[in-house]
Amino acid sequence: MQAATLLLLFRHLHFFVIVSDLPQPPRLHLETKQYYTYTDPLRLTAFSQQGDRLLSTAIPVGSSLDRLLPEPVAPLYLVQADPGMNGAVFQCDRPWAVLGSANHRMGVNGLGPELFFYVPLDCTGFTLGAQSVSPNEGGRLVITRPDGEQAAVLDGELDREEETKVTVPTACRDAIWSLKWDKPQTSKAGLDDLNFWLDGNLTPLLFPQREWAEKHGKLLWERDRAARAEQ
Amino acid sequence: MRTTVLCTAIVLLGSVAWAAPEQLVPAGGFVPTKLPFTYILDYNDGDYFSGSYERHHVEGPPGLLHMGTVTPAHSYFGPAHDSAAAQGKRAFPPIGTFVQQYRDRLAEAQRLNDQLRQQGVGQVVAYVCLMTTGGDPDKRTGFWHFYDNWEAFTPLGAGPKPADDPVLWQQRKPDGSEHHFYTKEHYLPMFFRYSNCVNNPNWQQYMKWVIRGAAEARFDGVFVDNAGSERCYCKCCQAGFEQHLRSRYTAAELEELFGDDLSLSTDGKGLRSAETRIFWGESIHRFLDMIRDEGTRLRGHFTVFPNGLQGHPLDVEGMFRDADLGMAENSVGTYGTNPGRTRSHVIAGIYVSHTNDNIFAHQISAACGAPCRCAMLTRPGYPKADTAWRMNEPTAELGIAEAAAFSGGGCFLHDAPRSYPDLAPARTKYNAFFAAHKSWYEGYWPGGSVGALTMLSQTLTGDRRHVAAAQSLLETLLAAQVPADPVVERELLTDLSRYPVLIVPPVLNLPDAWVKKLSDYARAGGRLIISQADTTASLDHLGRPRDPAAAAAFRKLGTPLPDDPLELLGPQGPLAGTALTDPARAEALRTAVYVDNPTKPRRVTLHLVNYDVMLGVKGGQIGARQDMPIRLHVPGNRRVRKLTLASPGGADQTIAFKQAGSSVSFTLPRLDIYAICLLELEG
Repeated sequence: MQAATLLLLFRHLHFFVIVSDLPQPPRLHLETKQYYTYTDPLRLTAFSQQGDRLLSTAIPVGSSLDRLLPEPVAPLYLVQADPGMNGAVFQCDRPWAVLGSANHRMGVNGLGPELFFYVPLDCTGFTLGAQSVSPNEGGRLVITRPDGEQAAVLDGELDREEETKVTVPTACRDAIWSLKWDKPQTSKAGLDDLNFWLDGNLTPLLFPQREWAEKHGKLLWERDRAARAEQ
Repeated sequence: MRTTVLCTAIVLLGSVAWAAPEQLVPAGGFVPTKLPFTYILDYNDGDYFSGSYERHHVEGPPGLLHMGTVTPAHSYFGPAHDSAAAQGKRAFPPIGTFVQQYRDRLAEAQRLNDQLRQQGVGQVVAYVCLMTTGGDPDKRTGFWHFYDNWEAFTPLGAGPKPADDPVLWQQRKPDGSEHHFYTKEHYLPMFFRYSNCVNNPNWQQYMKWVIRGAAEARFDGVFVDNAGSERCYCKCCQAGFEQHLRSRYTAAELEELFGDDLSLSTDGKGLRSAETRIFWGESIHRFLDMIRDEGTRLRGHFTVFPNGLQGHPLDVEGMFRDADLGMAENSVGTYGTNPGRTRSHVIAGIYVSHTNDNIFAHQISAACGAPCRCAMLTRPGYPKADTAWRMNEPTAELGIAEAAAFSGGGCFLHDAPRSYPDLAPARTKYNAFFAAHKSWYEGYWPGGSVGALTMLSQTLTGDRRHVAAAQSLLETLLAAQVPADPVVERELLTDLSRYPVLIVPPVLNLPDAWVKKLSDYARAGGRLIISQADTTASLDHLGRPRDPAAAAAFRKLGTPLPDDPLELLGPQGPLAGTALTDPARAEALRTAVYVDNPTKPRRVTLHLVNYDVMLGVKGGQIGARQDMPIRLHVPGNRRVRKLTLASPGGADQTIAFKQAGSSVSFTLPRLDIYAICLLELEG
């Protein structure tokens, strides 16, 4: 498992892409966390890159799952993890990324790791969106360019959907950007449930490690662009 | 206005002191599977008496037609309601006009029901509500206009006018104020909405008259809406609750468990709260019994069909247990809730499929073995329908198949033919199939390879995780092609030896009677798999701590249940080799197995449902499967004499098979949406 200091705790349905270049199948490890009295189990389904269902299971909230994905080994997997109203932490012994698009938004609870994503060569700009619907909850999201400059900030209670346009300078294209979040600075609201997303001419796969994004972000973007062109 | 409330109608076991119940919900005789049927809900009040309404049901007549507020006396507003007059737009017509309307409506309903049956419609039920009246007690409109003119309807069977104004029939909060479901303003600007107490004898008197009118109009029964809506603290209920407790517990137990407080719980905690909910449920049960009895006097059998199963599976073995059907309104889902599949691109050229199903709700009704079965309502989105997910004919067929396979005699709702004329062929096909295969459906018990303990009453005692854990376990096993059934409290008195394996998911409150039953099962050679969580079986059903050593000893009777149930199916797992077929080749297949006798089966049925039916207006494509290898465990090591395959729209065919020990192998030549295999055993 990767040695991230902060783990990604998410609620509701999320998609994870796993990249594997080893002869053994990847090992998943998911921990569940109960919220309030919700009883939703963690439902987990793994798909091959062809979209075939590889496994489907569900574990009760309060327990954890630790298992190898089934043979045969594939270079790419998609894992759908849905803890419902409860939460889950995703870990894997291979490079992975979580999808944070406008259609499949990130829904985190509390602090999490800095996430890294690839901005392609022909991307002149994109949108960062966020929302934190509960009263007295909010957040601060910061997008950082490859040169270390802050590119965008969304800060506040975020009771309604808020979006900000991010301009991509020529020198910062075909490069890795990052996103992190914390409690808001412009409001007394706390950080609890926070939804956010990226939208635009990029593939919003968010890696918890920079080197994973550097190695796989561009390849996945090219694959995604080709698939969209076919549709 | 009198304030006296008569409470004598609550018929309980008096104040006889019994030992505490063995479990919180009643066990009972097991009612095996019944014949499934097709079903239409058509709320089209404006068209019923047009003289040509029946034309909608010529093609694909349903086994059950569910109509709206069509009883001679309107369930909510009484038989003297005039909408315009209630809003002050005109004067009320003379009361004689309403009396004549009642007679006219009765006669027209009789004609319509006779005509519908001639066309092949099975049963016809009308809408009533468990508790609602509408009106304005100050302006004397709606139900109050009827109440003030009650005597005009006495010759029509309404009986003597109750002394108490209907305001006094209402459910009450603990502080004595009115309890309104929905909101009091729900019917504004016309008038208010009220919620009557089912234990109020005056409300019972009115409802009995409504039911007699429905029966006289030749309806076969009634759909009872809002049938879980009793949360009343009126004097009737307070007195009834004390009687309820005294009928279930000895004086010593009352002292131990409730102290000196035998009043309805207001805090939602502990055994008193559980008993409060049981009391309200039993009040509803008596009210539904009253409806059935009243209708039965005129019609022979009278169908009672309450609404309220969605999210409340306990009600199948609780308050709805003696009803014929219970509706589950499964409304909310990303792709609507109609059964079937979607496939969508997620990212980087990877597609995912999503399957909607309603298997668990159906399974519970078959597993309970109560008379009540599940009627499933699904939608193309809620509260706003998404036209993209509109039901297509193959998914309409899939819904019928799902109910037939998993509910043990339930049904699946089709919307009105006026809006969905394209669904009629599905009903025609399944009507014929059910009629031709009655003996394949009637009189069976769930008989999967695995039973999963599903103690629905845990929701009463506060352990909400248990049922969710049992449901997700069952989902995982079914997806792994292991036929698995829920095993619920009502099976306390039945023989579970038909299951080679029983799984006990984490469960907090386990009655002593179930500890003994499961222990006996293991000692007799059954294989138990038990959650080793410290909390499992740590309390009894009354919330009393179990001796930790005894709880631990019980858990040791079983193989540990892993968090991830797929580990059970690994090469060394206790369920290795139990899959019917390779799950990787049949990801959309779900199956159910039934036996005709729980101890000495002569016939086994295997229902196969293919959920690879694309949802929505652009859907309808069926991913048929061909030449699928199947391997089925036959209980009792009995030899199979004959294996016959049937599917709707096709001819029955005999299938070649091989048997090795209790394992029967054969190839399913083709599966479109639904098929059944009948295995006839020797001996």
